[in-house]
Amino acid sequence: MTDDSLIKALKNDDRSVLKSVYLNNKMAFIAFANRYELSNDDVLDVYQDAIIALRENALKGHLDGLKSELKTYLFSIGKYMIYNRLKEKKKLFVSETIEEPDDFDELKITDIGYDFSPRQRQLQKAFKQLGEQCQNVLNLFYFRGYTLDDIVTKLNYNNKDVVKSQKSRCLKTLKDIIRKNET
Amino acid sequence: MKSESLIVKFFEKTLTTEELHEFNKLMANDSDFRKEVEFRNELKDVITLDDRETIKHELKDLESNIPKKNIRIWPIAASLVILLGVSSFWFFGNQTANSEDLFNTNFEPYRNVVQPIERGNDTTDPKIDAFIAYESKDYDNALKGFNMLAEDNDAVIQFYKANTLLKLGNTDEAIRILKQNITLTDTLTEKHYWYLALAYIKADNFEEAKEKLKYLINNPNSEYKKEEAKKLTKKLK
Repeated sequence: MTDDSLIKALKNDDRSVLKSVYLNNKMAFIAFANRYELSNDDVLDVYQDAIIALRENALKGHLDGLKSELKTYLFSIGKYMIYNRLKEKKKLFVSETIEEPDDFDELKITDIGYDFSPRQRQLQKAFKQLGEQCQNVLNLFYFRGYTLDDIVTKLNYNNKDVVKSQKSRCLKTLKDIIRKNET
Repeated sequence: MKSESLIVKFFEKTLTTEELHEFNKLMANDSDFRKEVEFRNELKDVITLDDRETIKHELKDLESNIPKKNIRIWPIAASLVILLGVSSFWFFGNQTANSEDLFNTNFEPYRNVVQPIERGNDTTDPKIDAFIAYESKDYDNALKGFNMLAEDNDAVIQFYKANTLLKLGNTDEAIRILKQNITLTDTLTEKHYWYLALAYIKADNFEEAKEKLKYLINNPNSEYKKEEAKKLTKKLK
């Protein structure tokens, strides 16, 4: 597959393509990360986060018309994350001095965090109790940045108003579930 | 209803300047409106976190499934390790350290414990072909075969490819493969250290070689090449 078709597939949230991108670049990334003083577990963890960031950016259309190779882009994200991980650990580089690359701004990533606050956990629990259709609509709108018009096309709705009221119903149900969970 | 469409447009990032002004006014003056926007912002964060958590799990699952296919070879590997250990044990006397000698006396390409081969059958399986060549010490063809399989990125195949490269004298490439492969195979980790140590000896890099041997000596979970590693370390001083 060409980079363009990979990016397209990632944008469509094709998980099998995501996994093949993961597997195909893993060895090279580990070899690349070897020069930094990170444990094998850390390297793998960082690599997974870089893949997740790559996916998010693809989903949001940030990779459309990407000028560099997909692999180069992935490795830049990885390098950025390695750098942050090392800063966290306050470790110095062993074999060579690495300057902080100045192309990070273009990556459009923030660090991938996984820490839920207790309140966010509650909200997550309620979200997961929603029907699949609701989860889907809310995911497209709030996470993937689809407009209501985009959702009409994506999910074959009749018109925007249907999506609009569907989304409102979902939010209402979500609030009801939260209230129910609290009592 | 007006305020709902403002909120939608805010998240769609399609507010006009005028609408943005109105949006900000409501945020400042209407606490219900503000609470609603805050709730949806929170939902946005949560869906993002939830999505990441899901993908992270999927990747971890994928990762933990990679070595599984090698587990079945472990019993055979274990018994062969003992044989190999015995066969290379005789070497360690009181010779002086010479990288070429040390390498040649210790190095024997790791046995094929992966691909069962039935003799006399014509085959079209490139993996079987590669291992037939490997077992027959036809290392040029074995390398060709492993290169063809290399796209699979299978860590076990890579390990045998590294052995083949060592035999053919391409030490640098073998080191590169073993180094990047070392974390990928649970069942072959110790073997990677041993062959990497030998490769470093061949490359005259005794310091790295000692590092790798140290791992084998100090590894509480495996006896693989422990004694050999101790003796070899002494030779490298």
